[in-house]
Amino acid sequence: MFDYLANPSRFLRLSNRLFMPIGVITCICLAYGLYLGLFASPADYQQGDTVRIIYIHVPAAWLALFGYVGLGLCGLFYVVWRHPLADIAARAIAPVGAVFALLTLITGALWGKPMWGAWWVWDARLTSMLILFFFYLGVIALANGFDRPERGSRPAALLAMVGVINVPIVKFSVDWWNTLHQPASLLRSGGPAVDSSMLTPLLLMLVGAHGYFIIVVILRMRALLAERRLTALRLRPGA
Amino acid sequence: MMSFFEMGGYGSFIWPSYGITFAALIWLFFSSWQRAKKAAKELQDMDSPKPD
Repeated sequence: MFDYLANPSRFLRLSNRLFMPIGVITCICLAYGLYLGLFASPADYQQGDTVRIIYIHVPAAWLALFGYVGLGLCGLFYVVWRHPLADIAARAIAPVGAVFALLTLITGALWGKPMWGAWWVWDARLTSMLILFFFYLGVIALANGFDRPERGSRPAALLAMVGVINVPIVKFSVDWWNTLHQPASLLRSGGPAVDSSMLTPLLLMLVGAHGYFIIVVILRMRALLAERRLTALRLRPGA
Repeated sequence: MMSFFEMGGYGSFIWPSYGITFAALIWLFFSSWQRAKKAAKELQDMDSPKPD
């Protein structure tokens, strides 16, 4: 499948076909999820209305983590098979994942202040999430730190692969160490520990966030592919 | 209506969370969209140069 998709023109054709359906599903999920999350779902018996921050905080965190796994896989495909589309995908994913990681930290701080009494604490979950954000910044800096962008691809891919070690640390930090952060609510043994009135908007926002991520990554990959082609055409003798 | 915006006293934390998140997502979407559109246009102009 990857060999099939690794052809840029095939990728463009497929992404053109997927763009509208994913866009429509994303808009519906986000709109209905926002309505349920802000209006129709109840306040938490302990946390009051601040629990509504979960509907953006958790999807942002998931996408920051999934995005990084994607970045690491692209790095692997680039380093092992040298496929340029893996480099394009990594360059498209990195800034989007970085934005989601930053949003996780910001919405987490805005949730932590009223519930814990602190914007920030140096505990395992928060610190490993901050490190994830720094890995994103490092990959972006390496990928764009050279006069000829292709020269940054390999170091950025290697750093992306190294950083994957941090992903399970973020995920399991709440089990491995004592932390202020609440434990996992969805992906835990015994199934989700959230009532359906809150689970439905959360799942809708999760689907919407994934759709948004795919849409923006497709747009950025299209931009990068066109820019690469422009550079190649301009360097052509006689151009 | 006012009680909706107050969010049980936590409005000053909840609304900035949503505001910052959606501002960032909308900005990221449109900047990516513009970049793709600009590159596609330049590519098209290059493939079919205007007659002098």
